[in-house]
Amino acid sequence: MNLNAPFLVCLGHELRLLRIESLSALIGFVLAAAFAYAAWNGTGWAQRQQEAVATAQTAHETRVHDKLAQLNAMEAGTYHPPSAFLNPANPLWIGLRHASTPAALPATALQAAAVGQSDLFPPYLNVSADTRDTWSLQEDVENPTNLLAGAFDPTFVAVVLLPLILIALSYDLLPSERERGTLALLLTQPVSLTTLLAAKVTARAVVVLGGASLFGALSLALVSSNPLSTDFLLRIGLWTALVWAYGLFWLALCATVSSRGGSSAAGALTLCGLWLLFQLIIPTLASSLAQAALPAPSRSAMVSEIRAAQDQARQRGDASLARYLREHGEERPDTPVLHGHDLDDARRRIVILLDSNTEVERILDEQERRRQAQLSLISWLRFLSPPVLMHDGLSEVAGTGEIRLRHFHAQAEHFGARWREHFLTRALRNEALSSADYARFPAFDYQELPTTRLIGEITLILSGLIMPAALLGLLARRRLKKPVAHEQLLFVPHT
Amino acid sequence: MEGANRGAISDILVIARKEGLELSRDRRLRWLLACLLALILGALVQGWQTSEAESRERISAQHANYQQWLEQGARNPHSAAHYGVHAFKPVNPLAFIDPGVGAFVGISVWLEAHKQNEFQFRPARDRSSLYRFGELTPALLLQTLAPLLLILVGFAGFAAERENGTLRQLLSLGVSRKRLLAGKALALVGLLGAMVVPIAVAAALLSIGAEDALRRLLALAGAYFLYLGGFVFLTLGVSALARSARQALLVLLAFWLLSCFVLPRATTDLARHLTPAPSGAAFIQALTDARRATFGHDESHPAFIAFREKVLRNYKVSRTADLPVDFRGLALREDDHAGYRIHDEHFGRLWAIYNTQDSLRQIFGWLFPGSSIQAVSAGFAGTDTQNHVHFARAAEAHRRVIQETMSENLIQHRRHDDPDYSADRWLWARIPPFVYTPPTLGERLTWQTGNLGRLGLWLGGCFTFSLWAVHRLRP
Repeated sequence: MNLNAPFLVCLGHELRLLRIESLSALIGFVLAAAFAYAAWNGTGWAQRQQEAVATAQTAHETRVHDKLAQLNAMEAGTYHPPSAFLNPANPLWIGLRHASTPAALPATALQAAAVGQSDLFPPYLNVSADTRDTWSLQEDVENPTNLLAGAFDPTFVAVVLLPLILIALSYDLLPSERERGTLALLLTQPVSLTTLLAAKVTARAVVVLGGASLFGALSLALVSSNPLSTDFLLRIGLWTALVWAYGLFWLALCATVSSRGGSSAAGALTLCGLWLLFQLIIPTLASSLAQAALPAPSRSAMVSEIRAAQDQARQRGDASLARYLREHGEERPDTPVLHGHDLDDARRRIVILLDSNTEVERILDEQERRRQAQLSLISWLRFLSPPVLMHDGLSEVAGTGEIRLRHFHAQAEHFGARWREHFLTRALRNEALSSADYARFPAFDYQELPTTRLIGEITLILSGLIMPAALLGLLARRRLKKPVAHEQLLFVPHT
Repeated sequence: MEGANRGAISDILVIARKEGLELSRDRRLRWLLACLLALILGALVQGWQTSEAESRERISAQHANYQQWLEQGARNPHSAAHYGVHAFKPVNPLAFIDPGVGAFVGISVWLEAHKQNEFQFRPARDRSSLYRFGELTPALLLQTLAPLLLILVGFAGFAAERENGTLRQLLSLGVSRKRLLAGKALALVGLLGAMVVPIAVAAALLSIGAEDALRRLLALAGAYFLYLGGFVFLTLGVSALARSARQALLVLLAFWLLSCFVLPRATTDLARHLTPAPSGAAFIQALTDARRATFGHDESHPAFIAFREKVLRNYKVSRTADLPVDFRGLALREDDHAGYRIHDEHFGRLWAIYNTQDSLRQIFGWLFPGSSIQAVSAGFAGTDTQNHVHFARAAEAHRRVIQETMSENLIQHRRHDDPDYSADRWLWARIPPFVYTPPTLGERLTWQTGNLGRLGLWLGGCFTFSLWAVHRLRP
């Protein structure tokens, strides 16, 4: 490698200039402080979520433990349950209430990097044998003003603040040299405008993006529970790639604006305007557009539909029960738990529940289908705004994005169906639960989103960032090659 | 004296007219303003349509829900209380101006027996992450874009005059600095008017007919006047003090960024660390633990037995069957009353924490007014957390009406614990449809006194700062 190549010489000069400029030190300090505070917030949020899971888990274990103790006492003849509801051998109420179990989404090693959508979707669902709507739409308790304001997490620093820092250092790549009169002098050397601009961009990329990915990765490693795991290394790798691609997009934008030959003040204003356009105007417009084209499902209508479905199932209740008894009436398990009125009540409740659940699931699936329709439109619209792409990418990398949450919900719903089946079939057959059965309750076992799926999504997002960056780079290069551009760039126009 | 006054006013008007003329000649500014205005008006109409549609949906759901309640058929009154009703939060007629926390609070709550539920279905859950970038509404534009526009137009106010050498000429003519400031401020206020007046008129036209909407709009306009007025004087003050126009712009942009983007988030996290609120799981766990003291339907519970003893003693009978009233009904009412106290305590504590978090966030609202204007704007539009809590309390009061009516019916009409006792539509119709009375303007003003005070301080501070800066103005 020839160290005297014009590009490397320019790069060396630029790095030296950046080092002595006081702004660089300030920016370095701001970046480090912002990432440290953001990582602290991110980890605080992640811990709060895991504590919530632990609380729910402990509550579940305590409930099951108490019921099991009662069951043992009952089997020893020292406890007589006052009602069918409190009977620890009754699979109906054990499955519906007492043993309802939290299906939890575990934290990733990089959870602190983004709050993402995790403040709207709690990290666990308290699954029971009841109809799906009673547990699959659970929400967390949180101050709505906090949700509206959003968190100061590493994603916010990377998506919103990083481009501003890049703009502050790069809004006048060529104009400042021209305004100081040094550009003409520079071009007396054997160096082209393109090489000069490329060296300036590279120097800023090395300093700012290198700094950002270093501070970011370091602070995230410090707060991570397991910074040496492959999970962390993979995720932080993708995180760094995203930061670089996003940073290169903004640098390419700065280079293109600089190559137009306006004044540095005009360049600064244009770039601030573009920042606002991508950060605020396009996302809000796209959101309004998507809502107008494919509206989100109406939850208020859903409440009425579900209620109507349940009312109808209740009205059909006696007929359903009669049908069940006709079909299964002969079954006489040798361990009956309920008798007479209680058994009739329980069976009636179960056939109504199962009947209405079929309709409830149809309504919920239809709502989800409409929700997904809007989301898939937006997944295309977001390519219009790199900040939105970056936000989604960082959330997925942290494990708090829509894709992973949806993956979790699908599994929890599947598990819910298993749980319902497990308890309600026993309850219908009037089969008592034994203490051995308590150890065999279905357990939720979360299967992590396949790595290929995560990498595929991030690759798509990376290409959505790099391609516009490359196009902008080519545009700047073409402009600088034109002779007329030289004239515009070299001489300050008379005003 | 009168002549001097007239002279001052004519001076100010001349300066303002000159500034205005310069602004109107700037083609870029004309474009920017036109685009911004088109964006705002488009957002206004679209937001209004969306919120009207949402409002109709909720009203019709509320109506359907009440019909379902009436037509639930004959059943035990307590079973009807378990069936319950849903209360749908009405969309505030001014929500299209500032949707506030609307997307981040549930839209309805199930009013059922024994427990006060949390609200469900936050609209933001059904939207994508795009929602985190904000909603295109007049509030966003007035809170974020309008100050930016003022900064971009005004940062060169004094600094450029100095760089061009015209400041020296102006001062040599004997123009007072205060009049210079007043003239330039007047031009910026005029620009502001060109933006705010069309929004205000359009908003007023769209909200005609809604109860106190016009008076609330007026209050909103006043708050935005304080907020943006401060930016007018801050911009001119910084421009007078800065060494160059470029430095003025840099300082102002940094301030804008801090006030509108960075601090609202940074202080939210800080407030969360300082006054932590329980997570959903912890809140529910605490509530469940507290409710263990109540007996619910558990007739082996010590509290249930103690209550039965007390009732038997009071009525001087030995068996519940001998009571002149229904004992299960009495027990339900007793249990409900204990539950009310527990729910009031727990939800009250939770909402108090939210309130503290919100106040912490607004402490520096006089210096960085972003948090104050966000609170005031959502407060007057009826879309902040306090308004939500107000609704939640009203819904809970309605739930208690249902519980009391159902239990009272059992107490008076059921005899000897009759398992087949049922009531019908006559009883269900005794529960009126749920009607919510929103807080008055007076109440909303009291909630926002602190923030309005901070915005007043902000305007006063910026005004004083600009006076001081022009006093130090060197040509």
